[in-house]
Amino acid sequence: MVKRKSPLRKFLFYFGLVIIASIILIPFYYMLIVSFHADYDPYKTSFNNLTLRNYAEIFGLIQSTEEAFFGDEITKRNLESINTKLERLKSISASKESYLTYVEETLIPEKEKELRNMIELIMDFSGLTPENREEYLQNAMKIGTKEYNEIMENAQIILSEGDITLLNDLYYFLNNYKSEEFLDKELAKVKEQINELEEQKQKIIAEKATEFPFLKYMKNSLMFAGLGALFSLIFAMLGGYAISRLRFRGKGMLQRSVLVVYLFGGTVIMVPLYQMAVKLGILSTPFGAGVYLIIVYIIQTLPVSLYMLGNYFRTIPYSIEEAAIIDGCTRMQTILKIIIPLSAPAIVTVYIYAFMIGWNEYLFASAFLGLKSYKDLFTLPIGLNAFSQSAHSVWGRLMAASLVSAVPIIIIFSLMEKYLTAGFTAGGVKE
Amino acid sequence: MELSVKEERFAWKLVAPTIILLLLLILYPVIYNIYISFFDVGITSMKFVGLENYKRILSDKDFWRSFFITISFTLLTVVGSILLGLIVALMMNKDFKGRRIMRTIILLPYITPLISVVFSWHYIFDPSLGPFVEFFGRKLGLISTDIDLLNNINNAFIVVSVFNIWRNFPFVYLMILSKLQSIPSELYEAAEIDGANAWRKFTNVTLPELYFVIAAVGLLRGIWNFYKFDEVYLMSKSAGTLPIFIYERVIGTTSPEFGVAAAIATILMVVMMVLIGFYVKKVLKW
Repeated sequence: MVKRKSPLRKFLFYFGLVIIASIILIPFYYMLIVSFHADYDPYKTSFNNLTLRNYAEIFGLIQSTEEAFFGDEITKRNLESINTKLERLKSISASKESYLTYVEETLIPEKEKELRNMIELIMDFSGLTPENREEYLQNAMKIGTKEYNEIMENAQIILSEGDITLLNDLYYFLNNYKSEEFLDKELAKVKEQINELEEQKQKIIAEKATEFPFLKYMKNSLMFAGLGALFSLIFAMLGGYAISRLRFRGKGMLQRSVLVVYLFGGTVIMVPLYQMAVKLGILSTPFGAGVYLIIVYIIQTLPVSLYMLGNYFRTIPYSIEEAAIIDGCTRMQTILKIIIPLSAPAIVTVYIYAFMIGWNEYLFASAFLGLKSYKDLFTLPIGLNAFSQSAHSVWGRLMAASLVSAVPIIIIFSLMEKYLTAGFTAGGVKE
Repeated sequence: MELSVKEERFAWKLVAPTIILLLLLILYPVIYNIYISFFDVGITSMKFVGLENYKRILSDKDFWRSFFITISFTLLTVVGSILLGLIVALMMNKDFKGRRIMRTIILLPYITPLISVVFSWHYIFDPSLGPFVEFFGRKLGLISTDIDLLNNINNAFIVVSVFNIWRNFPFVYLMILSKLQSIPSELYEAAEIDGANAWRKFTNVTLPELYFVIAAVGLLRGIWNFYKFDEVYLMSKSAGTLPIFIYERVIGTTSPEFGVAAAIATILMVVMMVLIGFYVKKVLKW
């Protein structure tokens, strides 16, 4: 059948292809662009300069420092206010003399005003109306004077216990600030304050550096998806052999279980699985939660793996196996020495499917790990999602992380496209 | 006799782990789910309340809203992905330059991990930075510039559906393409002899041949999208389909209502079974 195509139809055909390809590729295009261009200013609306920093950062090649807080405005402001406080405290506590000048220049006027206000309050409340109010105040501020005693007497009646302590402190401060002992004590207090602030600063920087542990998420995802797929594969190889080669009661039931699992999507069994885990206390330790998650991943992928492998094993001629059995192999040996090597491509395909299901999984990971906040076990989906909702989320890093977590899968897929697409159509992979 | 017993024992040993896991983590949870749907489940206590949970849900306006969103989401995405998948499959069934690279491109949305594509879509529809609002809003002036398509309860459902079609049409395309390639060319030749044009060949030969594969794909996609949680939830929490409705009542809350959530899941399961039964009888004609 040779068809002559008019140029117009040919053009329309290719035009259609380009439209479809661009619709497919648009999100990937922005993933690339943003990850290579976005900088750290969250208020910027367009990105210009090419940068690799997003990638360096998610791989932990750059650590957050005080100077490079990565354009995060909130952290910047927090750090700045701490830094100004620190600077001031350090300059006043440099020596005893500097501290004394600070006390005399800044603190004393403040404290005096405070004390004055308190005394005036007491006077007003207790109805003291001396002839010369100003002179009375001046005298009352000195310990031991007649006015002082009068004020203290009234204070006992009017003020609460806390306020009296405050009043005594103010008197003590104003009358003793020049003494050596007092200065030492106050200086020690300032030093302590400085230490506290330094600690706070380090904590903010450390938090910033570990706020998005992409590599850790990746490692966790590899572990959960990898182990889940591995066990699923092992059970599926054993079960698949039984289904394809052996006769036993209940075989039909087991084969139909694949369909049943299609019917019970994750949403339906999420509530009871969670409830069961809570009752057994599995989720109370990170280890238990992790193991439970792997078991759930096994069960999510097992039926499909079983179905696909069983179908593949059927295509291997039984005569090869028979020959091995005649040569004295046991059934288990034929599985290990003949069936598994002969179905290597199918086994790899099934493993990749099972792995991808675990790699993509969100619901159970968020239920078992997210709820108790086992941050050290977060997988990529929940880790990235949590990061995208945090106040510090920055598009560039998010996109770089997206791209990095996609690339291995895309590479594996393009290498094995033939096997994998065959697998899709051979029964559909469960989602 | 002796041998067949031995064989059966061996078979049972091989399938034992699978069967134990299936019973323990699929069958038991499903039954347990129905069981707790009749209870008021607290942190330490369980109180039998009969059909109270069901009554509460069925009289809950939010539930019905969510229910209809789920149904329309499923219908829209199934029809959308089948149409797009069919068109692409028909195009890819022809020989043209660059077909190999196109094959890989088409599969990208389906094989790329969900978490990788989701944020790119978020970015596209972001109200302040996103190119969608930038282009259609600020450049063409077709839509309001402060529209937030993702976090608005009324719009989120549309964006989520578009995303779902974009992500899943390659699956439909693969299934249809493999069937297309197996249609014998004699059928087309016979139609040509009868004087059929391209359109007639499509409606009289291609479509009837594709009927069962499209119906089967529709069933699979229907089941998956009806239960779809992660694609919807990660795209937009405001989309409000039933799986999200359940999730918000168990995980996304400080006072989980396990009984109510279990009852919704049970309803979901029953509705699904009825729909599947109906579909298999009427559409697949089994």
